[in-house]
Parts: sequence; structure tokens; C-alpha cells
Amino acid sequence: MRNIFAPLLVVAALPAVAQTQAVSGRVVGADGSPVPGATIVERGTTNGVSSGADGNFTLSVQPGATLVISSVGYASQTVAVAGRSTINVTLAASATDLAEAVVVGYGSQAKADVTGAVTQLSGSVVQNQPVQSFEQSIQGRTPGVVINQGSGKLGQGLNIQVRGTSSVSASNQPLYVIDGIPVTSQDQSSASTEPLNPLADLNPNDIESISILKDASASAIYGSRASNGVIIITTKKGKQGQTKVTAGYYYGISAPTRQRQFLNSSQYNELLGESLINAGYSTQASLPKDFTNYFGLDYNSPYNTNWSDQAFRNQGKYKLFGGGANVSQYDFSVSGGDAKTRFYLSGTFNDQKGIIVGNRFRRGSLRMNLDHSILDNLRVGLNTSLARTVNDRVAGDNDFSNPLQLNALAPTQPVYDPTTGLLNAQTIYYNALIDQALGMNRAGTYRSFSSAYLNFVPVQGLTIRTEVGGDFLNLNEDLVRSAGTQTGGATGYAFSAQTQVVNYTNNNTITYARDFAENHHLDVLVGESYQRSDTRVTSAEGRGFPTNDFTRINSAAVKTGGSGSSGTGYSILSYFARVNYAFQGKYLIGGSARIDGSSRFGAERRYGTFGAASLGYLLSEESFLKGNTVINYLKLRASYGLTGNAEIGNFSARSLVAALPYADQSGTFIGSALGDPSLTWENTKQTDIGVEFGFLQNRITGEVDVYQKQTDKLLLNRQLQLATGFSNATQNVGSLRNRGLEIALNGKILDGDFKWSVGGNMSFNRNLITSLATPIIPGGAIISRVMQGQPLGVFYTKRYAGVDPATGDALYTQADGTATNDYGAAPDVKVGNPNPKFTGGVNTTASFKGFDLSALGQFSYGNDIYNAAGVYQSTGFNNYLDNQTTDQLNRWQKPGDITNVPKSSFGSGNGIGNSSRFVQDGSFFRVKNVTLGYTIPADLVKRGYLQSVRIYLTAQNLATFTKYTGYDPEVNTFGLGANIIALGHDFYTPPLPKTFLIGANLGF
Amino acid sequence: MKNIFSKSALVLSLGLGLASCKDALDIEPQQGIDLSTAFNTPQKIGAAVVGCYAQLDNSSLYGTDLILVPELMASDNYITWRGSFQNYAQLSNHIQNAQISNALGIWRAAYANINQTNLVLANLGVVADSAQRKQFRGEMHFIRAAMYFELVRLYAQQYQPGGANTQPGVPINLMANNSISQADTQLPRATVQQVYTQVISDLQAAIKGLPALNVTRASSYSAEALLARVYLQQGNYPAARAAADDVITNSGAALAGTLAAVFANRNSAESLFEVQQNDQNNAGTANSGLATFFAGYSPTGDQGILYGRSDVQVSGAFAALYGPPTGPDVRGTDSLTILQTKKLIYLSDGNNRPNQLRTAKWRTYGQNIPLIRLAEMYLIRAECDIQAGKSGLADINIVRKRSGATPLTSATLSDVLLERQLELAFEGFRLYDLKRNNLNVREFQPAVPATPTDPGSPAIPALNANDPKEILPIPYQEINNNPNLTQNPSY
Repeated sequence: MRNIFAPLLVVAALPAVAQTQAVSGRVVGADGSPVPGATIVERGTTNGVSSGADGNFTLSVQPGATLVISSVGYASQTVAVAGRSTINVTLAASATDLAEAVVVGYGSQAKADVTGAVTQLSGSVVQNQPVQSFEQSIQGRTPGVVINQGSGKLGQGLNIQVRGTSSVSASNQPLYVIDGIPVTSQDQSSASTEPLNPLADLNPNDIESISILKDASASAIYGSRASNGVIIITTKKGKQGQTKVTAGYYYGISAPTRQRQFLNSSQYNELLGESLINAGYSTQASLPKDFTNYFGLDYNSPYNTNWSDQAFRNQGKYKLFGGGANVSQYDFSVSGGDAKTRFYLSGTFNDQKGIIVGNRFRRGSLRMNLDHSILDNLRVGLNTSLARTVNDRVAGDNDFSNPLQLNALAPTQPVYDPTTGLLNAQTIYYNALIDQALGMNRAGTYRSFSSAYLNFVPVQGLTIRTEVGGDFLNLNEDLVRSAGTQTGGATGYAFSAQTQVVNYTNNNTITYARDFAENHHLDVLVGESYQRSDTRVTSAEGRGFPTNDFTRINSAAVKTGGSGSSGTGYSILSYFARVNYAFQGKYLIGGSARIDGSSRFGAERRYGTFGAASLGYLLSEESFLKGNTVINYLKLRASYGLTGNAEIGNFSARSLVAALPYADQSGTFIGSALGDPSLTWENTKQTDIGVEFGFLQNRITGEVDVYQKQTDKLLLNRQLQLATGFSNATQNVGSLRNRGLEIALNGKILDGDFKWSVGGNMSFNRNLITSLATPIIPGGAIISRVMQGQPLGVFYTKRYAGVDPATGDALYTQADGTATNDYGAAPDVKVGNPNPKFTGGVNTTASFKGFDLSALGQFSYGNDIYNAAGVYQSTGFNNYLDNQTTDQLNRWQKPGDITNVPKSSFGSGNGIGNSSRFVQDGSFFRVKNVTLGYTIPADLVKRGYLQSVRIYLTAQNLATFTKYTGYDPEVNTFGLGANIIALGHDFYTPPLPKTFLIGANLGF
Repeated sequence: MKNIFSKSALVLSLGLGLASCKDALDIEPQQGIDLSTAFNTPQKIGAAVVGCYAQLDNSSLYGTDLILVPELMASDNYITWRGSFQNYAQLSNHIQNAQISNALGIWRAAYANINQTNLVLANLGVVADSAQRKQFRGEMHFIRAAMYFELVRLYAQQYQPGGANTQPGVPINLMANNSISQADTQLPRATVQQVYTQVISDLQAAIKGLPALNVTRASSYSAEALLARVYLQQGNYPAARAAADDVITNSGAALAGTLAAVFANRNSAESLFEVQQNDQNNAGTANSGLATFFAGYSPTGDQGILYGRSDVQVSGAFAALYGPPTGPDVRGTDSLTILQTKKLIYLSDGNNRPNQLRTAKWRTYGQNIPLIRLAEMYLIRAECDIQAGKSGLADINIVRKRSGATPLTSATLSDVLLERQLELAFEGFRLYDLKRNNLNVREFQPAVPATPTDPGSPAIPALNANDPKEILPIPYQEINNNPNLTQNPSY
């Protein structure tokens, strides 16, 4: 690139050739180390370069020129050339990072000027991590933002709560905006009951920064979609200067973080035998015969299969090559540009074989971000990416082909049938490994995030910008269950779906920023935006394949009921404005407003108005603090605003009747939901008070926020009386509240040759349903409820009162406090809370010479977990044949036994009902990430083209400390439905992987 | 400055021009029509009538649960649940609790269908053709009666002949609900007597409205045959006999050549009403559907492949009631695989739970589901005759001879009840037959005494068909949301 543009520069410079002079030099930091990427600009012009990896630069300037040298993290310096041809510059580390730009809605602001609660993270924290999408890498780094991955399935949807759960039935997930364009972040899959994460189509290595807008002041500019917070992602852009080429590679191996423990063969026989005898089905002598006759089990089996391990690649053990769970990634990027044109090009290929058998995620992605200055005041740009993602998915948690459900199988049965050598199909429950051998569930996505803009600055300070963005998502799913699998039955089954989501946005904004006199600074934004999303799904389903070689539905004898096509869509039309005013750089005032119209609401209730006001006060700019040696930076800020939420079904306001065919006759049938024509926005009023500070030359910095979010007119999917023929209606009823406190602290402990810093954050959120007409009770395996006076998702079921020492019966607490063995007589009471008391993270980084070390810990305290599978796997065969957890060996056996595990009596139902028996404390501390890197000294690598080499070792999810006895305490199954409400439920949910990586990054 | 602002205003208004106008926010659903206008033309009414039939095939209704659930609740010495669905295993072990998913599913699907029949009945005025209107009315009454009859049998204690029957039945909704305020109505449980009265009145209206022949849909004889079944459940033998006799004499139905043919073919001569299915529209092929759970065989002889989930096993003791494997009754078993057998109970093969007995009545996913057939009418007439002190022998032997079984020479009440079990096995009759005769689902099993080498085992108590656990709970969600409802004992 450099060569191509060089002649142009020469041509452009021709008229002035006699007057220019060359200046070269080196930019170094206070410690003498080179500062690469510093910007050196001739003041008053666009003429400039970036320093190279060695800090060197060369620039042609007018003889009387003045250079402005700046770089992130350093104080800018101005140097007059004064005829010199060599200028070496030593940059001092900036006292504060106040000049750092914070990305906000439709623009950016200097950190000192921000009056809202915004957490901004550098893209570097999400780079080269063994994850599928960036959210997984920011866990523990984001005060006020709780991220729960839910399971170890690759590319699976996850849960993010920004300052608590602000809705019960509408979405709780934040709005995602990439380079100014809201993108599709909801699951689109149809071949599984569990969600795919559409953000896994974004290459984390392309991310420059992630900005999380938390309070109303920051987010209200996104109006109706801001209640759950807004996450703004900015991708990397090219910078003027020497072309930078990077290449990287990593390789890693994974294994499950934790596993639940189950009975071995002899324990299984002992306990099952005892339960059969106790139930009167067998005597000790008849057990071998009865095992065979009743269940087809061999009492004297020579096998001792650990079925639980079979769910994982290589039985859950690490393996360096082949057969084990391993991850690798290749990536390269080229960036650079000149005064007219800047570019960033990148490509990545990522391949992750998950810890669960059959689970694999691959992504190849390309990106080109291009900016061109047509004139000094007119810029165009194009950001475009194309990603291909292929996800070999795992069955849903509540699916018999879920490999984790293998743990229910009898250890006395072998994995392979000894006579045929094939996978054993005679197991007591379906052997899910057959699905691996004879099936697949592949979700392939083509995704493009693209946007183009035109930026015009007619006069200094005034910017007119128009941008058009398209988010194209094309998902191809193929679910194959060949003959011999449970679903495939005799002749095989296949399902194929093609989903296309086109989501386009047009933003038009005018911003005006100006200083009046010395003391006044004004920023004004007005704009308009229109977004439309259209979804089309075409699917085909068939049964009856000649052989297992045929998997396409063209070959199916019978095209079955899942074949069809459908479509849906929504649109949003918005007008918005924002004003920020600063007086003397210390008194800050801001306001924003947005009017949104949505196709989802009834015609007369379509438009909603949202807005926020905020104040900021930079005390450290006051004369009494200026120059203070202890307090360098102190800012108080407060905001209040109204935001909305409209993430409900596209037609929730309508009562609809759909087609329901009767064999070959066409019919219609009423829907289970009724619509409310007066349905409108869910409103959240949020108050935030925050303080930001820096002490001791900013060695200690931090931020503390308290907030209250009051949500009214909840978009509630309210239960109706089933006996009237309808199940539910979405209505604006009920209110809830989130109150919280967020603390973030960072300290630079050592700052010399040896650098060491420590940081941490902690968030407290209290959720309370303040008004709800009728409780929401999902029932079934879910014990979470939504009810007035309790936090969302509170665990509500029978309280387990242990075991009657006389009879071995499970006891439950009655209303009067006494215990009963009559399950139905005990009332449902509050037995736990899935919402943590507090969450947070700690991190530390250290560097010495070429070495760098970083560590990140994540914690959650006070949240309960309900093991919904406990009724099957921890009930001593009183339910059925499922292999049991080892704690069941402590069962009651004879009168007088004191234990918490009831008597085993086969199929008796003793202790199998939902109860607090299966609730456990889910608090945990996790060593999330430890990375040790070494940058080889420059003089060793700088032979030929190489500029820099860094090699690193990373451990992800290195250690997890918890009292939870299940697989992984970071759990939230998607398998039971009702996912917003059913918090903290574990149901055969796979654990997260523990991964060790080695990688290298090269710079050219 | 002025110039600049007018320029920017131009750009902005250009953007607005692209997107403004009200229709930018008008997006119509593509897979539905509005409920408020869904019943306003004869064509829409006709489609809604078909929809009520289609709902019968819902896997929570006759598609699976209205047949499978009562069979499992009376499974002792009859069938065994072998599958991995724990809800069915609990029903089969009589240990279900208030959260059992089937109680919710059946309730919800049945009441949705009832409301749609109400909506059609309330809007019949738009159908100008009086014959069509009359037929639609009859069809709606027939379907509504079937739903209430199933609900009262499953969620309430058995009707007691001669009693006041004030025990709680199920809520009766006759309103055409289509608004949220209507859907908030907290209905109490009507008494069992009131529900039966409603069922009978609906069926009498259906008999009046329906034509004698209605192709694959309900005819007046479908309704009369169902009425015979209702009267029998009430112990009203004279009325049951009269209805069954009229159906036998006048409906034109005739026993099919073989019982297998009634299930293997569609709409046989014997069929009085059956739920229509085909390969596209059926109750399910993987996690629901009668064939899905009852079947388990290799259709080609290749043992690597299997049709059905092999979840319901027929017990050997029950199969033995048909006589020895070499016996003539083709409803029994000769312990051969489905490709070899000449009988209706086969030995499963394939790679999952082979060598267990299964019924061939539920054999393919897309087969029709015969709900009422003429053989039942013969057996009702026979039972009523025996109750009246007459001989029901001829009717019983008509049914037996069709399947090659040795004719009986005399018939008592227990003979006809046994014959019902043999003929109507796996069709959802057993639990209700035991209930109306107050018989045991499970007989007492004595303890095995301890010996020096063996601790022995305790006795197993008998379980009566009218035990509290032999009816379903009112769904947990509904009980918690409606203070006017009372829960059934034991839940």
C-alpha cells in the first residue's frame, strides 16, 4: 500500500517541493523504550505519520512547522522543528487517561466529559482467547454487567444482564451495536430448542473497543431498546503511517472444568438391588433373575462403564493431538494508510473442538475497513466483514440424545456391544453415542456486518453524517438422524432449514461541537434513524431414506410436517437529539431525547418518548484541588432518565388464528395467546449517582456508582385461565425494581522496569418484583417463579425436612412447621434465590523486561442452583433406573438411621418430588484466565522483515472453587424453556471447558 | 452559518424522506389472521370446524395422551412403560404429583378446543346454507361433548349411578371467549353430575344436527355411539343399550374382516369415528404419537433399524389371556416378529429393547386413530343385556368369531368385561372399565418372608381404580392462579 500511494504524495507535494524539509527521529517513553504507533502530525495540517515498531519516524514538513506527537496513554507533546532534521521525543506517561475517547451512542466523548455510566474495554482483552464470541472474554471485567455462559456448548446463546433483570417476559439482553448499526443478536435457529449466539459470527480479533452503556444518561439515546443496556462494538480502523502486518497462531487443549460423580457397577447393583427388595419386587436370591427379566440388566456383569465420561471427547481427559478437545486459530491483519486513505484488512480461521463429543465450532472471517478523505472535510468509509461459521451442535439439555444424559445409563452395561462391536443399543436409556455415529446437527452461517458512511464537515465543529448498514445473516441448518438412531427410527430422519435475516439501518445525524469564549463548550447531536428487519425461513423435513448414505430430503420417501416456509419482520423509526454543555471544563450538563415508533405495538400506541438528563462536576479542576498531590482526579456525576424495552414477539399485540391442517383438510385454530391492542413500551426510569477518582498520581483510580432502575408497564406474558381456552397474553402490567452498587478499583503498584497493577470490581444488585397481579409459575421441572415481593426467578417449592428415622420416608415441612411424608400436604415456600448477592472480578497484570503476566478471577456469591435433574439422578432408584449420584449411598437402611437420603424403594416415589432437597449454594470463585507472555528482544528478532515476536501461554478457567457438587456452578440450562424466569437451573447441562493455550504473534 | 444549516436540514430531510410515512411501521403477520375476523365468513367457519377436528389429533388429546395416559394409569399386569419419559413412568407407577406435565397438556389442549367449538357455535349465523349450518352445529356439539367427557373421566372421581354426584368435576365453559377480560374468568369446578349433563345434552344436539353419513367426519351415529359409551360409564344400562342397539342396527357399519384391518386401513366399514392422520399431519414421530411409543420393530428385518421407540411393553400375563401361542385368537400373540406374525401382538426386534411383546394396533406414525368402532357397540349391548338379566352371548361371540377366538358357551358380567379388555386393549378403555366397576388396578401381593439367607420382601398393597392417585391433578399452574378451584386429594 505504501508504495502505491507514495507517488501520489510526491505529486501532491510537488508545488511545495522547494520549501519542505525532511525530519526524522524516534519517539520513546520515559523508560527509554520505543513508542510504536505514536502519531506525529504537522500542526494545522493533515500531514502526519505513525512511528514504527522501533519508534522511528520520518516526515516532510514546512521549515517553520511544529510537530504534535501523541499516543494513547501518553501526554501529547508539541515540538517546533526550527530547522532541525532530527528530533527525538520522549513522551511522558499521561497523568490521567482523561483524554481517552469513550465511545457513546452516535459518537464519542472524552472520558472527562462523560456524565453517564459507561464501561469501556479495550479490544485487547478479547483477543486470542479460546472462546467463540467476545462476551465470554469480558466476564469478570465489567462492573454491573453479569455474564453467565450457561453451559460449555460452543457458540451457544448466553445470558447478559446489565444492572439486573429489567423485564420478566420481554428480552433481558442488551442491544448490540457494531460500528453504529444495531445487529441481530437473537437466536435464529430452528433445528434445536436451544439458542445459537449470532454474535459468534463476529471475529473478536477485529474489535478495537467495547463500550457498555449502563445508565439512562448513556443509553437513552437508544430509547426504546436501552433498558437492558447497550453494548457498542467498534472495529479496528487503519491509521495513517507505516503499514503494519501481523500474524498469529495459537493451539490449545481442553477438558471439562468439573464433573458430577455417579455410582460404579457394584454400587449400582447394591443400591438398585436394595431398592427392588424394599419395594417387594425381588428377594436377594431373585435379584440376578429379576435384573434380567425386569430391565435386561446383567447382575453379574463384568463391565464397569463410566458413562458420565463418555459424554466428553477422550473421556474428558486432555490429549495433545487427535481425538481430544483442542482449539486453534490462525489470524493475520494488515493496516495502515496515508493522509487520504486508511485501511484495515484482516482474516482469521478458528477451529474449536469442544469438550463434548461431536461439538465443534469453526469460523473463517474476513474484514475490510476503509476510510477515504475525498476532500479535507469530506470522508467516506466502508466497513465490511464476511464470516462463515460452522457449528456442529450438541443436542438440547432436555433431549435424550444429549450426551450428558449418558450419565443415567447403567454402569454394568458396556459402551460397545461385545458381539457386534457396534455401539451398544441395549442400554436402559438411549445410548446417545449412536447419534454421534449416525447423525449430525450442523448450523452453518454466512454473516456480513457492513456499513458505509459519508461524513461532511462544512465548517469547523459541524459534522453531517449519513450511514447505511446491513446485517445479513444466512443460516443453514442440517439435522440428520439416520436409521438406527432413536429419532431416525427405522428409515432415518432429516430436517433442513434455511433462515435469512436481513436487518438494515439508516442513520442520519448532525453534530455540532464548539467552544465559546474560553469557558463554554457545547456538543449537540440531532438525528433520525430507521431500522427494518425481515426474516424468512424455509424448511424441509423427511423420513424414509434408502440407506444412511442419503441425508438430503430429496431422497426421503415421505416429506413430513416440518416442511414449510414462513416469514416475519419488524421496523423501528426514530428521531433523537442530545446536548452536552461544559462550563470551564468542570461543570457538565447533558440531556438526550428519543422518539421511537415500533411496528410491534398497536396503531395508537406505536410511539414512545424517552430521554435522560445528567450532571457532572469535575472537582479536581477546581482551584482548591488543582495541583493536589493526593487527589488528581475527582468527578461526581448524576443522571436520571427514561428508557424502554420492546423486545417481544413481532405480533404480541395481536390475537391471531393460524392454520392447522387435519390430515389433508385445511383448517384453522385459535392461538394460545391473546393480543392486547393497547400494548405499548415497557418503561424503565433509572437514577444513577457516580463518582470517579484518581489518587496519588493516578496510581489508584476507580469508579463507584449507585443506581435504581424502576421498570413499569412490564411487557408481561401473563398467564390466563386455561379453562377459558387461552394460555397467556402479553400486557403492560406489573413493575419491578433493580437497585445496585458498583465498585471498580485499579491500582498501579509498581511502575518502573517492573510494572505491576491490580484491579477489581464488585457489583451488588437487588431485584424486586414490586407489583404483579398474578404470579408466573412455569411449573414442571422449573421451581422458579415470578411473584410480587420477591426477586425474579425465586425458588419456590416444598421445603425438604430430611428423612424420618423410623421409616426412611422423605419428609417435607408443612405450613405449621411440622414435618410430613405427604408431599401434597406441604405448601410451596421460598427455598432459594438464583440471583447472586454480589458478583465481580479481580485482575492483575505485571511486566518485566519482555515478560508480561496477566490473571483474571471471577466470582459470584450467594446465588442458589437447582439441579432439576436431581429428581432422576439423586433419588435412590425411587423414580426409575437412572444411575445415581454417589451421595445416594448414604441412604436410610433401617429404623434409627439418621441421614438426609431417604430409603431406596424402587419406583416408590419416595423423595422424588421437586423440593429444596436439590437446591445448593452456587457461589463460586474462578481463576478465569492466566496469560504469560514473552516478547523477544527487538534486536534478536529484527533480522529481515520481522519487527516483533511475542509468544504466550494462556490457561482459561484454570481453577473453580465452589461447594456446588454438580458439573459447573456457572450454569443456566436452556433445556427447560422459560429461560428468563428459570434462572440457576441445572439440567444435564455441560460444564465449561478448561483450556491451555500456546500461541505466538508476529509483527512485520 | 445559515447556509450550512439549510444544507444540513436538506440532508436530514432526505433521510427522513426515505424512512418516514406511517407505513414504515405497518408490518402484517404472514402466518395468521386476526381472531376478531376469523369467524366472519362461511369459508372461515368451515376452516375453524376442521380445526376443531385437527385439534383432536394434538398429542395432548387423542393423538397420544387421551389414550396412553389412562392406559398407563391402569398398567399393572397389562403394559409396562420402558421408555425414558419420566412423566409416563410416574403415571405408570402411580407416583405422579401435581406438576405432571400431561395434566397440564391435556387440560390446556382440551379447553382450547372447547373454546373454539364455542366460537364457531356463536358465529354460525354467518353460514347462510342451513344444511351446512346444521352440520357444523352438530360437529361442534360432538367435539365439545368428547372433550368434556374425557376431562370429567380423567380429572374427577367416577360417576356413581344413583348418587347425586356432587363431587367436583371440571369447569364448564360455554362462552365464546375472544378477549383478555373473558380469558381472566376464574371458573369453579362444576359437579360431576353437571358435566355429564352437559356431555349428554351436547351429544343429543349432535345427533340431531349431524347427517347419518359424513365421510371422514362425525356422523349422527358417531355421536350416538359416544352417547352409548357415556351412558355405560354412568351405569345407565338401558339408555346405553338403546343407543348401542340403534347404532348396530341402523348405522350401516359392519365389522371389518380382521381387527388388524381396522387399524391398518383408513376409515374401515367398522369405524364409527376416527381421527384422520397422514404422513404430514400427525401427532408426532419422535417424542409423541401412539406409534412412536407403542411400536418397536424392524420393518425390513435389518436389526440395526427400528420403527418406534419401543417404550410400551405388553405384559406376558396379559397376552396369555388370549390363550396359548398356538391358540386361534388372532388378537393374541404367537411370539413372532412383526414380519412373521399372524397375530396382533408381536415380539419386538430391532436394536432397542427387542424380545418384548408389543401391540400392532399402533404401528405407523401416519395411521388413522379409530376412536369409536362397531365392536365396542356389540360389547356395550352385550354388557347391558347381561346387566338386565338377559344373555349377551351372541354379541360377544360376534366379536370373538371375527378374530378366530373360540366362541363362548355362556357369558357372565366378568366374561363381557374380559372380552372388552381383549378386544379394546391399548385403545384407552381399561382404566375406565375398572373405575365404573370399582375394581382394582393392582391386586394385593403378599410379602415374601425372610429366610436366614434372604431378607425377603414386604407385601404390596392393592390399588383400587377409584384411588385418589387414579385421577389426574388439576394443573399446578391453574390451581395457583384460580382460587375458585379445589385440588384433587393426594395432590
